[in-house]
Amino acid sequence: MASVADLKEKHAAATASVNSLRERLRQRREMLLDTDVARYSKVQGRAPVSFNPTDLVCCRTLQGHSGKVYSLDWTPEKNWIVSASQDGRLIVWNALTSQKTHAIKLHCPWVMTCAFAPNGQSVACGGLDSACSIFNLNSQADRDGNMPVSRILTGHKGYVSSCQYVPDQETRLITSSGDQTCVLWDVTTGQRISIFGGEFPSGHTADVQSVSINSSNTNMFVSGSCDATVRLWDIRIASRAVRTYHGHEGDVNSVKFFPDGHRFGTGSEDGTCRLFDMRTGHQLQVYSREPDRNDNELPAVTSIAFSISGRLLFAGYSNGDCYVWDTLLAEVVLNLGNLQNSHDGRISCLGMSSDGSALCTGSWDKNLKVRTFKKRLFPFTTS
Amino acid sequence: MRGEANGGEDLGQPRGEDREHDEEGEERQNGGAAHQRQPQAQRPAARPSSGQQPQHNPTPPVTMRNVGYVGKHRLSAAIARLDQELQSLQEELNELETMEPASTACQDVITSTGGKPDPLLPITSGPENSSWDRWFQRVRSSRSNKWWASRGSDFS
Repeated sequence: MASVADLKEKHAAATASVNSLRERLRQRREMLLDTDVARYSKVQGRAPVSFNPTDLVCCRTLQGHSGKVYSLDWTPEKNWIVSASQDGRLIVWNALTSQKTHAIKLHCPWVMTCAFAPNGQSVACGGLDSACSIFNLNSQADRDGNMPVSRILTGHKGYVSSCQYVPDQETRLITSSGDQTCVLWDVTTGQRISIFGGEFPSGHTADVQSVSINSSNTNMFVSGSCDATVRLWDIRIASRAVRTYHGHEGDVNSVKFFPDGHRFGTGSEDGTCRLFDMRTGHQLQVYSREPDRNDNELPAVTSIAFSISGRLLFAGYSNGDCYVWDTLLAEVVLNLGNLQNSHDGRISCLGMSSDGSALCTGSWDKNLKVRTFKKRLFPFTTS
Repeated sequence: MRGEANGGEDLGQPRGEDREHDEEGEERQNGGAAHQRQPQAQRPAARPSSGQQPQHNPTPPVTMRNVGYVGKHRLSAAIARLDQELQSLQEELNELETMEPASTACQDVITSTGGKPDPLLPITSGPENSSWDRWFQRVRSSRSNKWWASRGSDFS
């Protein structure tokens, strides 16, 4: 083997080449950013969305957790929500009636994420135990009233930060982890089908915080990481990321596909949300709040969701704000954190019902709230 | 829960920090589909270079403390990774030669938002779906009233 000195020299040269190529890439990309969504929309004369403060009413407050709410997920079909909390429990709610249908005490109380299976019969959760536990909601509770785990997915070497079932596939689930990888699991066997990242050079270089599967093409998913990037993966090709998206200046806490399946949104510790084009990699828009008068650090974005058309981007922040962004004009049109009946703490998670009629927010104030558009007195008009 | 911004009050594992200390452990062999921790030497090269530098840099500056076999092995692995990254960066640069500008995608975004009726918009393309108003229907309360929470809503 070459001497250490030779290797060091080679390493330095390779590092310099990589940095120089990255810089060329960055400049070339900048030249291709001839506009952004907001400027383009304004040129087209698009009118901003206009809300009255009372338009998005809080129609349900789901109370029952005795600790901070960390994660929530809706069923695709029914009006059920599963939530995970610092109190070490999952609760399944019928959001229409506000009733709890299940309260599941977890073996490991340090839960960070939960998800509903596509058929609504199972829920998954994961956290500091580095595993993902699956519960069949039709199981009988044991003598102590505890619901048995139907499967535990082990293999991650770090916390499970996020999990999502592959749409229309009860048997497959994708997790993201503090071990810098994402994993595709077969829930029926408990086996890892594929590992994305880790030993491969195109994987994330820090904890992965969030995943979002493309519902228009379920072979593709994106992951957001503390390495400030988002990566696009094809589940059929685990060996390398399809693309890496740069732009954020801090941990990417949340990623969500845009409804058309060709773009995705992100939310970051740097206080901004961004919209990226999946195929080209272009950063199409930055959603950046005004700094406050005292020029304090911007609050972090904890979680995002799009309305069903994509026209609205909901973003929860670490200071309790919940901005509603007009996606096209990049303007804040409402702050759900500043209304009557808002949460009393940080919004940690957001989710849209499958028909887009309701937004659920979960908070460190231990509650979940469901918001919908106020009852319409007049027929809808065409836009 | 997820990092510095939460005020450190929670049970969250310190992110990335356990890796900084784990120099000697990096060479351990794991069975199955184990991943190797990326050598610290490579980390600076892996930082995104587009736009401004990231505000916080969890990895310390690179110093080569191990000059024995372990150091050589790790250096070689780092060089191999850098070479692979160079290749993939070059591929991306080639792609950009013929890539359309952002305005094309911007037009697509605008078009797609007009596509679906959106219950949360004040004005949206029809048709109206009456199930959107199910949240306003009176719901029969059950005996187990303690989960009933309509008092937490904006209307009762």
